[in-house]
Amino acid sequence: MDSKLMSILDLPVELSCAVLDFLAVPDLLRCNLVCRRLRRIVFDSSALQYKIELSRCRMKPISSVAEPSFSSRLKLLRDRESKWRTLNPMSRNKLKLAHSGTVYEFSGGLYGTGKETDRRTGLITFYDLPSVECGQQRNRTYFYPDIHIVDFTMDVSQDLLILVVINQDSPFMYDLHFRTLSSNEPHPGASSPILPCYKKQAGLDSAQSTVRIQISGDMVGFLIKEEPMSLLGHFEAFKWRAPRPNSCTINDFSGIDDFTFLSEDHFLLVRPNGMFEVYRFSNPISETPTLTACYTLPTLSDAYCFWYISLSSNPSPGYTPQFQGENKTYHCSPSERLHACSIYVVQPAFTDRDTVYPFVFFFHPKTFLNPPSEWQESPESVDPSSPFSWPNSTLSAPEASTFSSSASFQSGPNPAPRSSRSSSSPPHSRTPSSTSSVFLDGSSQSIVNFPAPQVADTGPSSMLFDMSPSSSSATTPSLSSPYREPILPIPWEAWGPSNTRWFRDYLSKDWQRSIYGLRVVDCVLDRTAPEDIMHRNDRAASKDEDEDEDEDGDEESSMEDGLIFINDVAVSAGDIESHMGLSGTLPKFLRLRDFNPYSIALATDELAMDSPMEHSPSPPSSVYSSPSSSSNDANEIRDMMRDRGGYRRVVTTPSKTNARGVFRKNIISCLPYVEVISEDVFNVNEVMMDDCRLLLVKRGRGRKLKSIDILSM
Amino acid sequence: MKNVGESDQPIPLPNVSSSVLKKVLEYCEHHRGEPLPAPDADTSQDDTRKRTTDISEWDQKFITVDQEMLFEIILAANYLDIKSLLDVGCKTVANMIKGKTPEEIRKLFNIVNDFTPEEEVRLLALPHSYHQLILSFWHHQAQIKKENEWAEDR
Repeated sequence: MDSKLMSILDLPVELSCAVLDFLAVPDLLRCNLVCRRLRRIVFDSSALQYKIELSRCRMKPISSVAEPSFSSRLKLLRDRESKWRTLNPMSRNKLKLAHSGTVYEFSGGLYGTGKETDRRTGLITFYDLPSVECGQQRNRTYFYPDIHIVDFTMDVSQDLLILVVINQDSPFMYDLHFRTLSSNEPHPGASSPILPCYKKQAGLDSAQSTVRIQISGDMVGFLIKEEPMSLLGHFEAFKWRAPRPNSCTINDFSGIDDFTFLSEDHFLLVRPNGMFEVYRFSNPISETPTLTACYTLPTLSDAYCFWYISLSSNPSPGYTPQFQGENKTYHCSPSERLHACSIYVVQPAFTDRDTVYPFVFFFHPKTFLNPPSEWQESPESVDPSSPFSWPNSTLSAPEASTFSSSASFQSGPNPAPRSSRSSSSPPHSRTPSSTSSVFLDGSSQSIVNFPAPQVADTGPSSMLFDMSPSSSSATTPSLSSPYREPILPIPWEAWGPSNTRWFRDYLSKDWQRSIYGLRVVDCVLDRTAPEDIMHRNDRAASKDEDEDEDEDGDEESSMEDGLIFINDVAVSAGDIESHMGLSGTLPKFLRLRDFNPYSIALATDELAMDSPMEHSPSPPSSVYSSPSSSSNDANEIRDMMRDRGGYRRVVTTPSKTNARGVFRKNIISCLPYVEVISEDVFNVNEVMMDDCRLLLVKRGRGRKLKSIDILSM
Repeated sequence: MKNVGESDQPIPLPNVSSSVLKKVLEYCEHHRGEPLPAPDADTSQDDTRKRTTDISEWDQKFITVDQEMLFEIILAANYLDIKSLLDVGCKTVANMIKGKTPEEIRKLFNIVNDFTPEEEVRLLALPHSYHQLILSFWHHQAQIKKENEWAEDR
């Protein structure tokens, strides 16, 4: 037959490559298994290999770039990734700093820092940092004598600098100034060079509020929150290039702790009660975004409440730039960006810092875009078109009974399948001393009993939002409620353990950790040897069994996850330094945690190859079983090996984070990662990172910036 | 082709059969007057996915031919430097491959599996995913390279 004379293998190699170039990576990898010749073609093509390698590293190419050749891009990518994997930098430079200030920002290879004069940021200097490809450091300084800058953020790929400015004479609380990074001119793409935000209200001024701002492509998110009461949260998301109105706002008096974009059309709000709310906005943006899902955090023990919850990620999710500076040929994939969530829990009865319990956990943003499958299936009683609606109080989901213990709601529909807080628990007030509790009955669930539209003006909504005497008397909340129908919150147990990884944390003013893509870097005082982990886990386990040990014993210090605990409270290296009266900094190890599945597979292979012990995958263990997971820990330890790049271990088994009684249960989490701890020590207080650099920030007395070392990967 | 100049002499096309040339002319006739794509405009891979699916309806119909003709058209388009037609051809082949298993791809193009049984075992039995298959191969290369570097360092 004629048709069998010609096949893809008979095309000239460059044409075969042209065909294969149209394939997605999974298809390419299948082509590898077809026959030797096809495998050879794929293997020999730099363009195809680059594509495969990028996909493994969870990166996306920047399409506007034509240079350099694919083979040199591939080499750069591979070299850089291997440097990251071993925390073994290609080169080390010192950043020459002109000055230091309290506001600073680092993204896309640009470090910007302000300088205060008369307690005001009078100027900002931007440093283009050297990298392996380009060894030049360039600075530029912009002066702002006339405006009062409280914060700024930037996006190198769009040449965008946004200044958050307080304008005393304006009826609005803040002005956002859109400028170019390259010339400090009004940004030509912005619909207007200055955008006023949020009308001033009685009894509220900008001195009592803090702001958070995030750029994600066309979108800008801006959060104003009241401090320290945090009753008011005003959030706006808008298209900065489009003329107004092209924004959505959420104003409410239950407070917003933090927000982040999750994708091009979704964002996440974190409520002070520990509720994660996912919203979708339409295009063009309508005034009120749609609440698509709610997620709860683990249940706190009685008498504890969340003090503060914050999110961080880098770069902001949902966006791949077309340009990211010269020599940049790739960018981390918009959907593969790790988030850190820092949680601070307090016991309202005590307010000193010893009673602040910090935790941190890591998650993928896609966790919140794809609710667990069992929560997507609608029970019969619910309209199948809206999987999350729960119009009446029936608890028909099979999970419901598992998590509910003593549902005690005083008002509103009762959609929550889980209420383990009893009615005797204290008011869920986030400010310990405050008498104005916003929430009913200490039930962290009550906030999600979103009022149905027909009862929006009476009933539950007024009880939810107007309970506080202060807030209801001071201002009538002009509640633009985005909630159309009750949404069933997805309990922690259904989404959390498999999608997060938790650690205990310490309280610090420093940037404790830095994220780029799926990697997190921080610095630790202690490089724990495997034996020590075993030891400590034993001790932790024995402590668990013996919960009611006396608290007033001798000062006891211990270590866990590279943290140092004194009297069971984690302390930062900075604490120790100041405690010891050190003007300098203690030497620290860099620690990298990589949540990229490819890195995990690679490290597993390498460790298995290097290890004389046979590596057997741990038996699949139920997340919920075996609170004494010491066998898992033992497995984990076996994986930890010393190799030339430092210490490395693969953690794929569930870990149990000792909740110290703060949460009802110890927290089990199992998002897999590889951990690498550097061979060398560094004098560093804070670490910042981007795709190819680590910035090691050293501070002196009064947190004054002393120097910044740049490790280029 | 530049050397040909304005000549009435016929241009010889030894690599293109008349039936294929007829097809190519049909394509060119239909797309006459359309702007040429800028040179090197799409060296990127980023919009690959978009490009894969966006064969226009007419082109789709045009390219619905047997495999022999399809590959001939690709060769001719390459030889005659008709970028848009080359893309349509390559996309069509890529679409045929998309989502298929290695065995299905072999069947599609009548390719003989020339891996030895041992190689097949090694390729397929190795770790959990396709990703890791090639990964382990590279890893060996990287390992060797690393060891060489290490030896040089000493």
